[in-house]
Amino acid sequence: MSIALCITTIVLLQSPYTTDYLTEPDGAVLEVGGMAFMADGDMVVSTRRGQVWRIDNPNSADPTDATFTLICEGLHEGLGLTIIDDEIFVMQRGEVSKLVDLDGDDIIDEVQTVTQDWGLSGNYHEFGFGLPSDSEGNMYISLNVGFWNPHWWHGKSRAPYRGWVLRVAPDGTVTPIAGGLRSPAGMGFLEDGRLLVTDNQGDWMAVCPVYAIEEGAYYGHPASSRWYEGQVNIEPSDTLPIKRKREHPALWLPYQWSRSTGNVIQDKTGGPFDGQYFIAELTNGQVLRAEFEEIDGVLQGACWQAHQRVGSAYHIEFGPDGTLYAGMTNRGWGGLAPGSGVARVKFNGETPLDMKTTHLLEDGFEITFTKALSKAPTVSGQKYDYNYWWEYGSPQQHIEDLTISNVLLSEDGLTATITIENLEAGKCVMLTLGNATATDGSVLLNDQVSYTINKMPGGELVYVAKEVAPPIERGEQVEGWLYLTWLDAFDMWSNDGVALCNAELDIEDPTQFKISEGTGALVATEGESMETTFTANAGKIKFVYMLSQDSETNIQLPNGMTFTLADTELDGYLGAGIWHNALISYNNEGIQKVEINGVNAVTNIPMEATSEPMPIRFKSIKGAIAFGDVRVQQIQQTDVPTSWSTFKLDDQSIKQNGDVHWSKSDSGGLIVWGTGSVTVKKMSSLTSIQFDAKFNGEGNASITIGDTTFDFATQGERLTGSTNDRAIHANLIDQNEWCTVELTEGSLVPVRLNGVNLYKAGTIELQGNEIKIQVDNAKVEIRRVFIQ
Amino acid sequence: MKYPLILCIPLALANCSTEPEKEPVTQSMESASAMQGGEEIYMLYCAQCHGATGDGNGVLKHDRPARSFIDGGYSFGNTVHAIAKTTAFGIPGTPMPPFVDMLSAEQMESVATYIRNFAPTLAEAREDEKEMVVTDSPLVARGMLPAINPTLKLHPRGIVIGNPDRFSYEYRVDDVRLLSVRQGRFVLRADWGERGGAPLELLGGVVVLVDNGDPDGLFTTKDGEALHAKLKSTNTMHDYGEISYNLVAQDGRVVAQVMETCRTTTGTRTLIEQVFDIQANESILIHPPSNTDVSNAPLVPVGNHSFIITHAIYGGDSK
Repeated sequence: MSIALCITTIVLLQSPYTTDYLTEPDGAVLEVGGMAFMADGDMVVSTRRGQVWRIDNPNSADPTDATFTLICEGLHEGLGLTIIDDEIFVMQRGEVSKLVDLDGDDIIDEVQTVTQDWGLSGNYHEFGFGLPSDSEGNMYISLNVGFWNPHWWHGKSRAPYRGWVLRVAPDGTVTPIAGGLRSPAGMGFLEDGRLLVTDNQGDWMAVCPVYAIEEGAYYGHPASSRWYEGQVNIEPSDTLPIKRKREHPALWLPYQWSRSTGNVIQDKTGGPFDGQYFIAELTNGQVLRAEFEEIDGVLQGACWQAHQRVGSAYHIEFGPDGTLYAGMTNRGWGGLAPGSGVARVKFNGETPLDMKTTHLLEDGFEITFTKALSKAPTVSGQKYDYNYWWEYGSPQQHIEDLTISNVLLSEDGLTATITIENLEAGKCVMLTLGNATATDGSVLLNDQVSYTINKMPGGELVYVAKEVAPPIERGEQVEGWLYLTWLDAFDMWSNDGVALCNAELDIEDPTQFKISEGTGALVATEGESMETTFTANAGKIKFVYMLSQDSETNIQLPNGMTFTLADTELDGYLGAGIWHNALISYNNEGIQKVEINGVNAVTNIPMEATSEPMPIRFKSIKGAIAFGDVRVQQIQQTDVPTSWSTFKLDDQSIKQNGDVHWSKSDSGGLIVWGTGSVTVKKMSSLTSIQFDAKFNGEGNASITIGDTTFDFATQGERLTGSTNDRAIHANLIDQNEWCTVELTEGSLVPVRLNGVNLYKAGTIELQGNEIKIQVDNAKVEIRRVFIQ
Repeated sequence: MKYPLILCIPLALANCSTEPEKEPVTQSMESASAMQGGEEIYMLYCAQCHGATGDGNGVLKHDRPARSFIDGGYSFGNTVHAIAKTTAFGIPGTPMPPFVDMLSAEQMESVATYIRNFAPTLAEAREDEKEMVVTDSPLVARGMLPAINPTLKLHPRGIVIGNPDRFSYEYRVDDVRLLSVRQGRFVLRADWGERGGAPLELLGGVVVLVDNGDPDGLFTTKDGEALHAKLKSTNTMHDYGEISYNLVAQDGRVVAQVMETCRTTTGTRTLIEQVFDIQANESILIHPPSNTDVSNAPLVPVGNHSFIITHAIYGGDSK
């Protein structure tokens, strides 16, 4: 009995789909870029190697029976092919061409240029994709942006219409249709004839989208915006969005399902998913299924995994026999094996249990099934959105569980109505079904559905990919060092006997230094010490030092541990009277590393006992030490905690006073220079503010929020870090270095600079309606302003 | 005794602008470069996220899951060069950090090679596969043309016609014009490597460099208006490859249609004949390149005409 049941289950679990592969001819590698069928059922494929193959008998029972003929070679990539009235057209990198056999031997004798009317700069990444054709003989092409070093992660449009989709009329006339694309590697058509274009995740593309293209629309990648009519033709910012309205994709494909999306085709096979769409996916090597619906005129929809582990599917087509063919390639792009050739996904005709449709309701979803379910399934799910920014893709943001209050199965078992309490527009939803079994015992083939909600019925249209503060460009990170002994060497220290002077080893008595007037070193002799007026957390300390013979000095670290510098043998230590560089990395578990002159002297000393944050202290235990240039760097979180919100800079509200200039920076911040002030409207009241700042100039600058003023200068009486109650005289931050400032309202609250609680201010007050940035012969740049 | 380093210290203590500091590369890391192979570096730096077997299942989990190299997850390219570049710079916006300050170029190359070996099929063309060889009928290679010499430009749209006599003809085709004639082997498809997009490698030695490789257009109207030579087709039916184009005036009218064939002559001295069959709707002027002989007068009247520009060749080294 149990054996029989087991066998039954195995049979019902079996997928009705099988995948096999045509055998490429000896020595040939078909990196498939385009695929179509002749009237006689022969398949024609174009390849990235610029070859075109005609494949006879592609649906043969034995895949080795299909025969391949090379009919054309020497083309400049072939990332698209179409057949119109049995004539073959190919998309090359620089040309749409018609391939003509003049003497009837099937071998192409003439390559006729249909058009070359788009730009190519010569950049390697300017792939040209194609080539679906409509019922009027128009063909469609899409053009990749280029990638240049050194900032190769920013796509650029340096020749006309890179990042656009274009229509090629039968007479070769080219019409640009829409821009704002990045790597639009696949196309297709909706049933009503609208063009679908897929793009690849990367800069400005949170995950891979599927767009239903509207003429003249803009899809969000700014590089190609320069080619819109009426637009000033300049290269837009790498990091800031442009003002043009961006259109919503109909689908955002989940990252775990698709990372390099290919083309879209409609299923007209009469099978269980007739009328729906299938999408090629290269990196994950699979085929997805999708269904679109219009909510109040806005296109959106659902997608599912359909066929997994097919191979690097770049271009898919249904053959005349209903077989799904996948042309594969992954050279240089990466993708699941096989990375070339043609896969066939055959259907044995037995309808599997699967979700058939998923439609959005006002308060949930209606899911239909291919077969009647025996009971209502369990449903769980999450909703999330994405960031719209220049970074390479976006993690899911604001992930929340769905509150599912009811799952109702219709009497016929074919429809489940799922009531969800917290659905909203501007989210993607992933639903997972459990315990879904058909009345015939078969189990669900794919248990997850992803739905893109641009709009709830009757509600507002909301972007799923939300504009956020631009992340920091590479090389523009906050280094985070505080220079604790620059300019006024004692300002940040309490000193117990340490002298600022010049020092060199006394040759007569090498246990001593010869001291002279100057500012060359801080010198401590036995028992003398200095310690910072603040405590710190995990991070790094850097300084230079020179020891006298047989001397010992204890360095107290902020984690409470003490490291002893002694005139004894140690890797990297060269001896008494010689200056050394020291770098100590520590955290709450111990000392990770001590580097002396760039050599690992000590690694991994665990802590014996935990400690409150402590000051940094230099104390001579024996003999003398000369030291200087003490710096501290805290380990800082690059991500701002979610409890903070981004302060939106309102351009319109900016007022200026005096001989002052301002502009927005590439990182979305504000640059103010000259002599005078600029005010920015501050709508909300706040209790804390955090921002990055960079100062430069002979003079000084300040930021005033409410009654509190934070100063920037590298000379004069109030150096960077000063506030109303405390003037800083140490030059903690150098010119042109980013630093992070954090102020919190209250009495005796710490002023934080680069993550260090520098000092306690008497009162910080951040109310008022504006933020005032004052410059006096100086320039200051502010970015990444967060408030709470 | 003086210690020169001391002299630096007042600067360090005083306010000064310094060059951005680089973290010192530790000696232990340098010595590691000599000792560590790709596998050791992988295990040290990569395996915790990407897994010891490259399956993406390392002990550290991220919101953006690490790539499975076995499944071929290489968003920025699966060539050793591309992987080394990703290793160096990281992937902005993901947990993949840059290693440029931690690993030497050699180490990154070796770890990239190790990672590359996790990949499934490697559809990377071998050098010998990339060479196109002309046998008994002409071949046309379309692709990007490299700059012939450093003073000249790359041409993103180009065609090389190779004939069975081992002569080949390099044309830019955004505005069709012959740039050079070469002798010897034909073309190496460098664009079959990596992600593609590389210029062709032209293997023949240059025997004719038309107007130093940067010729003006050959045709104008009789009033001197330059005509755009718009590519129409290439044809390989006959003994010599043919290229056809329309001569288009600025207002878009087609002034003439041209079919051009290049061939060699035999005799006491080999010459290159650039043969034009012109169907002129209006009379046009021909402006032959320097150092050539023209068969007819430079004015071509309305109607069907042929003429030949003859190029003398000089000895070029064939590769």
